[in-house]
Amino acid sequence: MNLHMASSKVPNLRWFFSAFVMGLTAILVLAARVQAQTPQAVTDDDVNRIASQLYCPVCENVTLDVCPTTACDRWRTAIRAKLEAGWSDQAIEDYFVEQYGARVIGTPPRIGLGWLLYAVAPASAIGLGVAAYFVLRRKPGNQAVTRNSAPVPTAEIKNWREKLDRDIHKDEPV
Amino acid sequence: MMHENPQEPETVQQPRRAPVWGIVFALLLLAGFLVFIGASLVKKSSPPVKLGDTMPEFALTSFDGQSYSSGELTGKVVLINFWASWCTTCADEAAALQTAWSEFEPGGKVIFLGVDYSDTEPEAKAYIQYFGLTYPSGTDLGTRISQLFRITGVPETYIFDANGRLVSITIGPFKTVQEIRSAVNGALE
Repeated sequence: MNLHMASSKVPNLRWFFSAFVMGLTAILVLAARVQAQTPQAVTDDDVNRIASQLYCPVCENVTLDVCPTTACDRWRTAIRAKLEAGWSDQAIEDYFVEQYGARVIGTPPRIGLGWLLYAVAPASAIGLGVAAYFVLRRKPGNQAVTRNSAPVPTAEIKNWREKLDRDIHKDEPV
Repeated sequence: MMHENPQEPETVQQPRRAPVWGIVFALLLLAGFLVFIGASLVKKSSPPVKLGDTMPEFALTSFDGQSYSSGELTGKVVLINFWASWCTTCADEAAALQTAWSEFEPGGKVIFLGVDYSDTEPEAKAYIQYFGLTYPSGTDLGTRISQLFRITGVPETYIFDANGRLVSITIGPFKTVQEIRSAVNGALE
């Protein structure tokens, strides 16, 4: 009787557990969709993160995040609008370069010949490394390493040592 | 009887030399870099346009979608005004420019072009609407046109005669409509 009751309770628990998991999954999926549809709140820090990478069109060497001019204020507003629209930092920076020229970014753009500026430093380092390798190999101190010495027979060395010993000791008083 | 030194080397390898392709590559890289630096310096050191110069080649798309290029403008007196909506002194001359444009437009011998420098489009359009500007204006994309003219700020106005020669440069705003009339009429003569 107890066994029968226990077996009849198991399907109920399974049904309850399945319903719980499905409900939880549905809630999570809905929450994710709502989160995705809700525009992300853009903070001043978000705006300044990008603004600090861009330079004022009017002032010299002043970044947008600290520039008090109306032009910079409008550019910051434009950055905020683009962040709210879901643009990435890089997309916003590219937009500003296209719209206002490469001078708005602190570094030369990585396009066209601009790549040369970025390629020269590492290429020079590699070139210098290769040159240093060849120069060091030419040094006189290292040339001995490259000498192709013939192996000296062991017996000959032994003879030399014996002769050397004899020569050293022959003048010693007995 | 002494033996000869048994460790006398028989052969000595020649030290390796840098491969030719490496030297060529390094030289090409260096030459390319120098050309790039040279081109940049030439571009940056080019002088601003001066009276008598021909009109620099440029293209401008106005906010209403019309395209204007310097090549198509020859035969007309061209007034190019650099402005921005954030520029307070530009606002001082905006009404005068519009008044002058309304006087010269019917003759068909003069064209005014507004070049909007480093501006945001909504504010630029609001500025145009506020001052009722009807002459074509467009964004200076990538500040290419202002770099060609090497402007020092806004507002600046350049007037070319019908042969495309620069006959007037005004740094700063026009004070009165009469100033604009005189400059344009001078170019028309």
